Amino acid sequence: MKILIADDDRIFRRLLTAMLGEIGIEPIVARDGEEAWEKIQEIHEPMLAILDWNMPGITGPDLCFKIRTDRIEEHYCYLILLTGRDKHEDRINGLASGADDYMVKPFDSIEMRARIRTAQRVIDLQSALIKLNADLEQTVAERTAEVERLLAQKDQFVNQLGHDLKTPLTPLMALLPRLAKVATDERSRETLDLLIENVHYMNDLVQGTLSLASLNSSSVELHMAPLDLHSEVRFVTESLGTGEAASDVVVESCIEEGIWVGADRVMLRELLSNLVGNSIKFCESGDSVAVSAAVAGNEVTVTVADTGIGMDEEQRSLIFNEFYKADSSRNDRGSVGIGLSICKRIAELHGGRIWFESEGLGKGTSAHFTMTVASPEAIGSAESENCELSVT
Amino acid sequence: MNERVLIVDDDRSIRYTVREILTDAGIGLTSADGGKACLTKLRAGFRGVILLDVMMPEMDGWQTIQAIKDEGLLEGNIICMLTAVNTPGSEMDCLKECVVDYVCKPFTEDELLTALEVCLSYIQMEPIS
Repeated sequence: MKILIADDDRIFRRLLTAMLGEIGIEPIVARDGEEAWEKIQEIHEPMLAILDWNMPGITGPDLCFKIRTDRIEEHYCYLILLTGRDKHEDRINGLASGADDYMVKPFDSIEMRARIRTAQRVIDLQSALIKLNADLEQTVAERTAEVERLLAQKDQFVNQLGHDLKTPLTPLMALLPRLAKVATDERSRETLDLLIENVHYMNDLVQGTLSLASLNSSSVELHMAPLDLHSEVRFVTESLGTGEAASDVVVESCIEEGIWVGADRVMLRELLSNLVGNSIKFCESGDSVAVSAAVAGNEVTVTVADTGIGMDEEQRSLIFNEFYKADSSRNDRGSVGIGLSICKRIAELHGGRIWFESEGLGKGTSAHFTMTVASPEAIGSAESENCELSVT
Repeated sequence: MNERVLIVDDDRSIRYTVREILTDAGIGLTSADGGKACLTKLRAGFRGVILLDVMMPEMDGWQTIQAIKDEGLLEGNIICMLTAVNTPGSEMDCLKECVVDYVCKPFTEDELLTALEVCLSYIQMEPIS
């Protein structure tokens, strides 16, 4: 620990130097506040400064205040004010200026040593604290790096596994339906249909896991563009309403033309497709699904509402968990339990929110998500692009 | 049968699958188990649609295309990539002028045939030298 003394009185400087010399300390000496401030800034280790109250230029309390506010505190500077003033308010003011201790002249070497020991204790504690903090930050940085490395490793593993599974799935996906087509006896056909169903389930699982892994990866990129919500929703409802899975559930879009959102087209379609597909899955014959949108300020809330089987409070709280199924025993619904995790991630990547509402079992479900409205300039450029495209 | 498609894949089951589908569709096929075997077929005179896997040991699909270009064997051929990645990566940018289409694994019979029909129509459009 370095010790600095600052006093404009030459005799007092000598006295202090001699007292410190007795205990083997050679102090750095300053003759006024300015000199003390300059020297303090050159010391880059824990230190104790004993400052006289009355000095020309900067006074002791002013210097205390300056040290506490202007000095870059990499190491603690313990401050003792030295003065002939011994009034209650002086002591209060002295400590309020940032001093740690207050010593009244005259004093003897025994008191001096006692005060220095106190200073040493505080400085030791401060140094330990600073080191602990630095170690903690270092540890946190190391752990964070380790967690990030493991997450990247997990992403890479999931990706590799997904891609590796696609190759053996290929002959199954491509050849089993051919066998089923030519199978003549009932038992073989039934067996092959069951195998095909399982292969499709495996394929959905692989595609869903890869999709979620790529959305979660740090390198995910959004290709933002102004999109006409009306045509995006129509695209999704039409493709879902005409496919193999088309049922007698009525799917309709109630979205007017002219609502534009800023979004990644592929992701927005996947989000809509998952939500509408999910609604259809939990509808019975004769139920309906309706997609609507409401604009408030620069935010659009899109709602997919169905009259299906609804959900209870517990299901609602778990619905975004990966691989969660509303009814795990109901495998025949063909659900992988990953679609809504994907929806949530897409909404989050767009800075939006997603949530479900249901009055309970048997009372239908509404899924809502928010997107940002596209700016008029962006819409203008998108419209002119569309014109060009339609001309060519 | 006139060989119009060359399947290049290190995985035997993929080569078998493609052969099964194309044989029934009446499209002549020959196969190679890697980039080197593919080059041998081209040197021996194969011209048609090259159905090329991306991930292969020793020489991957992109390195194979580069070698085909370097040897001047691209002319008269159409390349269709076979990939397990849903979207073509950035590495495709520099070589994409050589690639006409891509088929994602796992594919169905219809997906494979649709892509190949498009590629074969390109071949027919090219002037016969």
